[in-house]
Amino acid sequence: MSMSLAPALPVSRHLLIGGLAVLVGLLFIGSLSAGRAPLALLATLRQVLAQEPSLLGLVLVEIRLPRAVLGLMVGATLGLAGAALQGLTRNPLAEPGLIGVSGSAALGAVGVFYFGLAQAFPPALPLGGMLGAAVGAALVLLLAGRGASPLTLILAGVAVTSLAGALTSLALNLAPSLYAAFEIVFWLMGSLADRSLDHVWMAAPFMVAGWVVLLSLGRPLDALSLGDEAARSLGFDIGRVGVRLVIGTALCVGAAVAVAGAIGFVGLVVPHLLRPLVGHRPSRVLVPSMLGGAALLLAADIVVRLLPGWPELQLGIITALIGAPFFLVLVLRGRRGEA
Amino acid sequence: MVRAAALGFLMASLLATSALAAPLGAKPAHIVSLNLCADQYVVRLAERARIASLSPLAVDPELSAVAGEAAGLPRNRGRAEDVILLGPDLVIAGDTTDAATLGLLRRLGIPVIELEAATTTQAVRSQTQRVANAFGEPEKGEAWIATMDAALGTGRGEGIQPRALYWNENGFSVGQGTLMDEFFHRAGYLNAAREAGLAGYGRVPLETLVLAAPDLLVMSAKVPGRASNARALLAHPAVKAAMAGKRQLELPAALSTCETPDSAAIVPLLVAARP
Repeated sequence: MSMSLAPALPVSRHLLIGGLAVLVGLLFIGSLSAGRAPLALLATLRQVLAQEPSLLGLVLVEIRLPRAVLGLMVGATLGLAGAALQGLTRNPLAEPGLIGVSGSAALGAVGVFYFGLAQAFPPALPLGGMLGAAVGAALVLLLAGRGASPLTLILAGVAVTSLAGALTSLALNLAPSLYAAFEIVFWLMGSLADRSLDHVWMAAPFMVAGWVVLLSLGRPLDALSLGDEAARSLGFDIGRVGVRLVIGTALCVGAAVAVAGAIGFVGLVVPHLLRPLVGHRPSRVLVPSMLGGAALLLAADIVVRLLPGWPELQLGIITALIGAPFFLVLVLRGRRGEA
Repeated sequence: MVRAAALGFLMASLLATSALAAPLGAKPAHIVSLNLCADQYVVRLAERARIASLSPLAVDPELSAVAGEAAGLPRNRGRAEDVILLGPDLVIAGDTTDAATLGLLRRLGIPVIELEAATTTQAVRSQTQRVANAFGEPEKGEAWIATMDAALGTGRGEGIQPRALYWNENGFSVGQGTLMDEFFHRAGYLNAAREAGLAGYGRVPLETLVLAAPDLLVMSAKVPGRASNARALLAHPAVKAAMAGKRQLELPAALSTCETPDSAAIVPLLVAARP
């Protein structure tokens, strides 16, 4: 019944999801192939599977595999979190980076890292990131309120981002290491370079847990898109939906930022590109945004490695170069809409 | 083809050594440096044939104290993948090297030593011995330390102690508990930044500089083509007035960037600049 009411979409949902999954798969293979070592993927893979020790096998499994897996998972996290936040706030500009969740997660991770906790107890790093993300997300949603105008939400995000940034600087001033500030500037720009399988094991469980929570929000988000009254009459507690969103976002974005730094704009760009293809029901945007985010970040991380020069560009620079113009277009479109 | 052969050789060498057990006392034969300061230790303490690769900055004549010696040696881009392909049996890194890279190398069983910030000549001495021992070259380490002692011996001038202030990009200066502070002391100066209450590394505000009006202002030499806020501030009318008739000393960046026995060459420069 609802099928007949839905506007005709340019592509079928299954086709889109299938196509995106294939794209992610190809980019994952591309990510495994990109790098300085002349590595023939199939031959090396055969060596690895045969458990023949080799230098290239080591490069493939210990260096490129973690990078590709984290690229996929962090990208999926950012795309999904962006789509879910946009759904709940009914705000096209909601995105983990812009509304201060990434900055708060970075603050949590920096606090843990520079005061030696992460060395003593490795899972402290993602835990610190998640705690920071949870505080940041809760603060923004409380400050702005749901259904706030895009401007209010962004202002609340700016406030939280600035606060988190200032506290991060403060933490660095107090940190024992002389070069902490220098290091962290780069870290905050985001990177996947030279992460190991340890990072994957550390962050992956939390990211997956966050995905589960966020993906379970599809129906409540759909109900909310009909208005608060309608959602309530359908039996959804708006406050609880918000809490679940904060928990899910904190789990996956916090863990992602803790291992990859703050990578911006993925959560903004991807849902926007996909929404025209899947329709405007929030639940329908979630899975495609996950796949799209993974594809975008894998692609950006390949570009970083293919560019010549030294030192390697930070991943966050590439996503910002793509995302910032996009953000400006959205702002302009918003202005035209108001006029 | 040559490349494939070289790779095969490297692979073999890695597999031979990555059993983690280069026997005790054996000299590492493929040393990789990931940092400008580490380059200096490697070039001074290891034979050329044992240097697998240096950092990209090693040949920068403005920044590297070993630019000449580094010419012709391979250089890496500092990522784990570059490093591992060289089949290193020792990696030496600075205190700014990406922690993720070092963690990954250690995870792969490659021995890594990290330089630490040295804030006294004694710390430089023990760091040099530590690195020289890791290279299996304790005599070279002692010889290098002897050059430092010789430079330090040019030491203290006579008479009253003039006041010196180190002032670098963005007002970055050195106070109590830094290697440069010790150099000032050894060359017979009072460190004006220390008098102003600076401990360790930090900023000296413009106003403090003007009020301190040191007899000698020490800066890193201008690197052509690189703009610097510190230098722009020197054109400030207040600084011009306060520093009128005072001396300035430009230290080669290659001397002041890293803390190694070579840095002690700053002491005779300071002595020569005494008013």
